[in-house]
Amino acid sequence: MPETENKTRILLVDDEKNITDSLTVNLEATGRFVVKATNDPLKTVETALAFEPDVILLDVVMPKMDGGDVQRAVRAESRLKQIPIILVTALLSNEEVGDGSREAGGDYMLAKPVRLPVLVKLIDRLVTEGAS
Amino acid sequence: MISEQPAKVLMVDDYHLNRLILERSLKRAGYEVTSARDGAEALEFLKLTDEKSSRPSFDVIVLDIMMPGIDGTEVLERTRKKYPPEILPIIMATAKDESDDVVHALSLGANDYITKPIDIPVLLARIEVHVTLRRTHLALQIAQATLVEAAKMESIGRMAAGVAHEVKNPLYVLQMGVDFFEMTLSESDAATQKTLHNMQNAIDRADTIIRSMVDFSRTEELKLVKSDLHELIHQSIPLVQHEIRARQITLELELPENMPRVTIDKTKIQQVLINLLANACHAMEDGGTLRVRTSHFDPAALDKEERSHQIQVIRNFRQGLLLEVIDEGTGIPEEHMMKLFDAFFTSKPAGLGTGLGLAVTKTIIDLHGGFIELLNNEDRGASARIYLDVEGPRESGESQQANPPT
Repeated sequence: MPETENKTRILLVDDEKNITDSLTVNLEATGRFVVKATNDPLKTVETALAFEPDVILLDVVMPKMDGGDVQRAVRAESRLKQIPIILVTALLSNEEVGDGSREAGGDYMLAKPVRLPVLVKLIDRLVTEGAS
Repeated sequence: MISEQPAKVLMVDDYHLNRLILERSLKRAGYEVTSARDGAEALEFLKLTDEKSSRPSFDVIVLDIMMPGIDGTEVLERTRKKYPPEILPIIMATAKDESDDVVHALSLGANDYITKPIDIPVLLARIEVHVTLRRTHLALQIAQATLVEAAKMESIGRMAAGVAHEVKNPLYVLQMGVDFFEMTLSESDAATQKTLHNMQNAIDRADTIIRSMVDFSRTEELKLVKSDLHELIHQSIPLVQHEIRARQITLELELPENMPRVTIDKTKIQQVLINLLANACHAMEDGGTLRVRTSHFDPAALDKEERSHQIQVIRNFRQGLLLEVIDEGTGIPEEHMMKLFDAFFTSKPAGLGTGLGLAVTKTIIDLHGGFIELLNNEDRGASARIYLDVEGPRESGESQQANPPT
């Protein structure tokens, strides 16, 4: 069994390459995640179908298609609609979203700048909940 | 016709009979009159050298030109150095054939003139014209300031969302960098740890500023709950305890026991408390006593004469609550008074204040239908006074005249 099969698969969607690169490095450095990123929100569904992520981390404000649109597109695809989505927003503060437990339409929110331990904890929780 | 409170007239004439006649006529017409027998006395009444007062004590001056000693022209010149014609109208009284004097006085900023012997009905009509003009001017000034402030708020609101996004993305990248090094350099030396710690502080600080801008741009929604204000005060103090201790400030709470529960947005009022307490601490670098006091007042019993704008707001309260934060700090310089609540105005050194604290505070109090003022204390330091309606802000449809002023 290849090593990656035990790891949680994360799809990152953010129009800023800086952000997806840093997140990829950080998440992979924990040794527990396999990360795929796209900087083009229009390619989210296509990438997700090919990559089959366990969790999608989605920026809210993006050109062309915002987080809400992407979320709807993902939900509209039967093979993807069960995947938990974490929305990452610059428009709320950490105090307001707490540790991501605040649900927005069945999904989860984190405020930029996200601390890595907070993110990892939320991902773990979502994966555990999804498995149970 | 005299509206609102009686206008205050300062009448300056060296001839006692003139003073007597004019004083009686003006009083009968409903004015409040102060008479001065010469230029020196007039200047005394005008308190031009009192830097604390930015508003004149009179609404209009009737000023005789020809007087022994300091004459009318000199009083006019000195008065104009402080108060422009639209703030303090001056009507010159002059002998019949002295057109040169009249022209000279008008060029020095007199608003009008009347010839002697004074025709009382004409004088009354002129005074009324100038009182009305002055009030209209003040109303316009307030309206303009309100519009400018509203426009500024709106543009800040629009900007805040954009800036938040643009700044938070790079911050996010920096945060990831710090987190990465913290994870991978677990055995790092003290200097590296210190550097990472400083970087984290810088990120947190930038994030705080962005957050207060976003807060500022969407203060409109309130979550109103009947709350124990004293409990909220007790909960807020630990959050500024560091500031208090660092300056060896003595904190005194004067919180009477029978205070009713107040309808407020607790989070927002706590934000106000923290802002005011922190500001007070920052003004008391040399320590002193910081007092927080609450009291109850009857809105209907307020003195009508004073400060008409806020009284209008407060008199509509059903039950009045006054919250005071009184410091013994450096006080507020007169030139800052008008700008205290302006967004991005700060008197603190660069990096220490966002210039949004008091602007946010005022917005929050306004949303609660309350009133806030900052003033210098008689002896030393400054006070913040917040007037709130115990029953919370009125619904927008609710009549503001439920308790009409008597």
